Amino acid sequence: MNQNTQVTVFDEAFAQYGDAIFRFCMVKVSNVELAEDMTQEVFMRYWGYLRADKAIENPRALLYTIANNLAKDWYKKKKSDSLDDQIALGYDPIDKSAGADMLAQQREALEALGELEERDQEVMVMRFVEGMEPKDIAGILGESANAISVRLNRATKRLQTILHI
Amino acid sequence: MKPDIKTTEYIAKLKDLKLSARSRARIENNLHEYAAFHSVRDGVDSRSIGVVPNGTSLFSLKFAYMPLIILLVIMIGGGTTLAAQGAVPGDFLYPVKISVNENVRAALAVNANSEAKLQATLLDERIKEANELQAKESLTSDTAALVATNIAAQAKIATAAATASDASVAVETQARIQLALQTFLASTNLDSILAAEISTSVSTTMMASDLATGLYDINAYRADMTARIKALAAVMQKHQSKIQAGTYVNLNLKVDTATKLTADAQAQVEVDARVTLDKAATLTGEVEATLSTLGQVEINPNTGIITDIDFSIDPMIIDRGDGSGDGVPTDPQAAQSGAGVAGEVQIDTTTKTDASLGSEINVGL
Repeated sequence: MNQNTQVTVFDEAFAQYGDAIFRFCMVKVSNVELAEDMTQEVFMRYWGYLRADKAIENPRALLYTIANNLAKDWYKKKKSDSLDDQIALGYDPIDKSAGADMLAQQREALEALGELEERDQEVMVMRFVEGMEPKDIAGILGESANAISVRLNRATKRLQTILHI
Repeated sequence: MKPDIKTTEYIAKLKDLKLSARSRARIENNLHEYAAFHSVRDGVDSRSIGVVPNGTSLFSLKFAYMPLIILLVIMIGGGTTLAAQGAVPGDFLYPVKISVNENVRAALAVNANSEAKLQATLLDERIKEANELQAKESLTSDTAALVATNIAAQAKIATAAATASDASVAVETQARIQLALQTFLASTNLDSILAAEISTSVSTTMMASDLATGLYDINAYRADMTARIKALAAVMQKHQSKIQAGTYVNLNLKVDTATKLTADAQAQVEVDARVTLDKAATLTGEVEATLSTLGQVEINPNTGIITDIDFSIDPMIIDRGDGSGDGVPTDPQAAQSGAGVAGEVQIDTTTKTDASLGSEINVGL
C-alpha cells in the first residue's frame, strides 16, 4: 500500500460521492457553506481510514455513517448555541448567497424536508434523492430493512400533508 | 399511489443540488493537502484512524495535575531561560542565553526595523558581558577571544540588520552601534591583540555600514582615509627605530601604496573612488593590525584612528608572571596563558611575513 494508490482511491471516492454527501449535509444543516465544510470534514475522516489501510467494503456506507455522526455532533452543538449567537455568527437557515446555485425548487424541497423529523429526513434523501435501496439504508443506519421501509412510508405521508398534495 | 409519487418527485429535485465547481475544486485541493500532510507512511500505526489517544494534549490532562505542570514549566522552561539571561561567556548557561533566549527574541522581531533595533540591543548585551567580565577580572584568554569574536560578529549582524531597515531607523541604529563600539574600545582593557582584532573588525564594519546606508559621503570617506593614513605614517616615522627594518619597509610600502591610492581617488568618479579607497582601507587595516602586535596602540575613540604606539608594552608578553614583563600586573592565570601565546607567536615572528602575523596571532589564540 502506498500513498499514491490510496490518494487515487480517495479521489475516486470524492468524485463519486462528493455531491451525494454534500446533499446529505445540506438536508441536515440547510446552509451551503456549512454543508461544504461538513463534506470536507467527512472526507478527511474517510482519509483517516484509508491511510490506516482499513479494509473498506462499502465506501458509500462508511461515508454516510461518518456524515451522519458529524451531523449528530452538529445538532448537539446547535442546541447548546442560542439563536442569538447563531445570528451573530451570520447563521442563515437557508443560505441564499454562498457557493452552490440553488434553484427555487430545491430550496422548497429542502424547506419541506426540514419540516420532517431528523430521522425521517435522512431516509427520504437516501431513498428518493440518492436512490438507495431500503436494505442499503438499513446497513448504514444500523436498523433492519423492514424498519426503514416502514419509516419511509410514514415519512412520505407526512410530507404529503406538509405539501398539501 | 399518485400523491406518493408526486411527493417523492418533489424530493428528487434535490438530485440536481451539487457542489459548485468552485467549492468542489477548493475542497478537492484541501483534501489533497490534508492527505499529503497526513501521509500513509506515518499512518500505519493504530493511532491513525483519527482517534486522538488519551494524554497527547496538555488540555486533556486532569486538572489535578495542572499545578504540577505549571510548576514544572516554570522550573524547566522559564527558570532556566530567566537564569540564563544574566549569563556571561564561560558560564554554564551562556549557550542557553545565546541559542535559546536570543533566538526567541529574534523570532519575535517581526519586521526589519524591530530586527535592527533588536540586533543593536544584542550588541549592547555582548558589550555589557565583556564589561562585566572585565569588572570581575575573570577574563581568561579563552573567554577574551570569545568575547572579541562575539562582539565583532554581533557588530556585523547588527550592521547588516540596520542596513536592511528603513532609512531613519538605519541612521539611528548605525549611530547607536558605532557609539557602543567606540565607547567599548575606549574603555576596554582587553589585551591589545584582542582590542586590535575588534577595532579592525569594527572599523571595517563601520565603514561598510556607512557606505551601505549612504551615510558615508565620498568626500568624508576620502578625508577620513587621508587622515587615517597620515596618522599611521606619522606614528611609524616616530617609532621607526623601534620597528624591525624588514618589517618597517614592508609596512611603509603598504602605507605608501595606500597614500597613492587615496590620492588617485581624488580624480576618480565616485564609484571608482570608493573601490580605490576600499583598497587603501584594506592596506591600512593590515598595517594597523601589524602595528598593534608590536606595541600597545592608542586609538582615538571618536575617529578610530591610531594615534600612537607604546612599544614599552609588548602585547605578546602581557606579563610573564616572573616580573620580567613590564606590563600591568594581571592575575596568574591570565599571565600563564599570555606567556603561552607569547612563546608561540615569537617563533612565528622569525618565519612569517608581517602581513600574515596578524592572522597567525588570532589563530594562536
